[in-house]
Amino acid sequence: MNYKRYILAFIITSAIFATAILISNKLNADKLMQVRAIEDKMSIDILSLETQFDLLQELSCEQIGNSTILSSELSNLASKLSYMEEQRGADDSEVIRLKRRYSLLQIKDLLLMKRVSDKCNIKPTVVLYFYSNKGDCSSCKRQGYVLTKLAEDYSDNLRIYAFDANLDLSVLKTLININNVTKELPALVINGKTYYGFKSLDDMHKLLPELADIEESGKVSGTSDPVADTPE
Amino acid sequence: MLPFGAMSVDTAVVYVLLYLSLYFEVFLLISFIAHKNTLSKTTHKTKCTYYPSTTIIVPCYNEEKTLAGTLRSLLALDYPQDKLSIVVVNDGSKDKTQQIAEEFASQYQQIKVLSKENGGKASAMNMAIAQCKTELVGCLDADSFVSPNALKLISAKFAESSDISAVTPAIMIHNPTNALQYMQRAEYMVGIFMKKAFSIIDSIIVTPGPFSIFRTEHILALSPNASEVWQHAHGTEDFEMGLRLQSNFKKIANEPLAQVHTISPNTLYSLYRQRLRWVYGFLMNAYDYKHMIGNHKYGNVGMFILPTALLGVFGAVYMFGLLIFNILKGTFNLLERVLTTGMHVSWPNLELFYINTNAMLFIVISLLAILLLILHNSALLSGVKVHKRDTALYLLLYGFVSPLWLTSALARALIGAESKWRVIR
Repeated sequence: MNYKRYILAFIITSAIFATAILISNKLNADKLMQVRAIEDKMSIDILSLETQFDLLQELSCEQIGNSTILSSELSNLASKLSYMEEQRGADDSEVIRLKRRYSLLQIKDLLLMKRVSDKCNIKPTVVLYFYSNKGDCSSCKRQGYVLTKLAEDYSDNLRIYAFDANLDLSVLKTLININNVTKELPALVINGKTYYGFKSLDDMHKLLPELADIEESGKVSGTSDPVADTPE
Repeated sequence: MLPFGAMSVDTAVVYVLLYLSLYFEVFLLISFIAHKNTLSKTTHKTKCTYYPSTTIIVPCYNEEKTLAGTLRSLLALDYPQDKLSIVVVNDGSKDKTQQIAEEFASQYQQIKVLSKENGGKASAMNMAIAQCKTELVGCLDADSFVSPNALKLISAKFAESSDISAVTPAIMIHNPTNALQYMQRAEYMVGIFMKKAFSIIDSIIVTPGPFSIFRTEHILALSPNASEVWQHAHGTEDFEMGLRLQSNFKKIANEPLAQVHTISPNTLYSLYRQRLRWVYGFLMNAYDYKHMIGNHKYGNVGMFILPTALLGVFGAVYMFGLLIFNILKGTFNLLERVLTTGMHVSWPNLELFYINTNAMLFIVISLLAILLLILHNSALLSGVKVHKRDTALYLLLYGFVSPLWLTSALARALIGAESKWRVIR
């Protein structure tokens, strides 16, 4: 037996393996960088809007309306983050870090939107969704499907914010506390009231009667919205 | 960051199997490259100066359709007539095999016909070899056709060393007509490289039915008597012969320019039946020769080829099982989604971001790239062009069809091995 040949084959094979892993890591790191860049851009956008809001109390509602559309950005971010979570696993530290920032951005968007609605006297339809993907929430996946469908159908009129309840983020814990969400997941907060357990499309329509009004007034649009694409 | 952080067991097993597959390919390729120069010298410069007397046995069972072609190809061999005997053994055929064989025998003195009750290929071969007095003896299945220069090249190979006990040819597919046969043509092309590479590391473990030629005295010396040279060996006497020669430290050479064309199964079922027999035969013979596995005494065969081939069968079955599991899981998810929110089509996102950049994908690409390099070398070795269509079909189909017989053969072998073990106990 020619041991040198076995060793050479080992070196070459390991080199090919290592190269494949390195290329994959480099490309994945680039993708995470892209996600980070979107988050950076969004945080600047939100900050800028808040500042604008503070600076110009007299800003007309029409002007604000035009500048608060973060939906598509948030949706793009959610779907990319969801993809990276699928690829790298929910335990990946970088994915968790990006998810935490994403949750923070959602909360900021939520608060800003509340300020806008108070000022402009509009009543947006808001759903807060708390989920877990640690295997302890059997119906979270299906709830995700329902919310994604709703977000697609009512992209302009329905704002869904999805939160991984297991994320270690103090502001998220506060949000969970002020909405009295217990550990029973999935949990949905609709118009300030908390609902537990799986809610089907029909249930959701009953809980959100305003969706029927939207449908009747023919405002339903087909573009996709924020957050329901979030890691399920 | 390594992708092994929080890896599941099944993913880890897939990585290990991919590593071993890659290692196997790389090892054979570097062994081949290391001998490439010497190879080309032998094949192109060697001339036949001595023509050893040779008997070619043609065992037949209901071969009326192909026997004439097989015999004509043997008669067309570029080899001295007085040095070549052809023995047709009719193994109890129920068709016109006997009549065709006798017609040929009446016209050509070289051809002799033996007849017996049906008893299988090994018994037919044994009947002929018992009467064989030539230096070399070989077999040509009656569904195969040999190139005119094949025997001359094989004789030249024998002349290289008196240690050589057997020489195997390059086997190719005869006139393929459908996708399954084109796929097999590419598979057989890969086989040409594999056999050459195996011969370089003295590790050929099978002497295939179509035109493997043996030094008569060597195989007689390794057999209890002349009527038991070929064993039934679970329906694969060619595996048993290969392993018997290897276990007795005999040399098996390969001559890729000596080409034999064989008729291949043209339906999935017939292919499945053929391969089931081969893989089951391989597993059972490997079991019978288990003392060689992992045994340093048997060199590359014991330490590398046999363990890798066995692991390959298990690995392919495992990967296929995982694939089926993932397909079922995907289907279940889709069904769950449809049941939850109804039918709605969402187009896949074509943004660059969503292109798969998993390490596993790059490893599979490397494996396929080396496979293409292997095919290229097969073409160089045999002087036969590899068709792009064949390669495409091979890459597309083989991974899906081969697990059918691998799984079935493994299951049967495990049950068989267990029942054998029970008997022993």
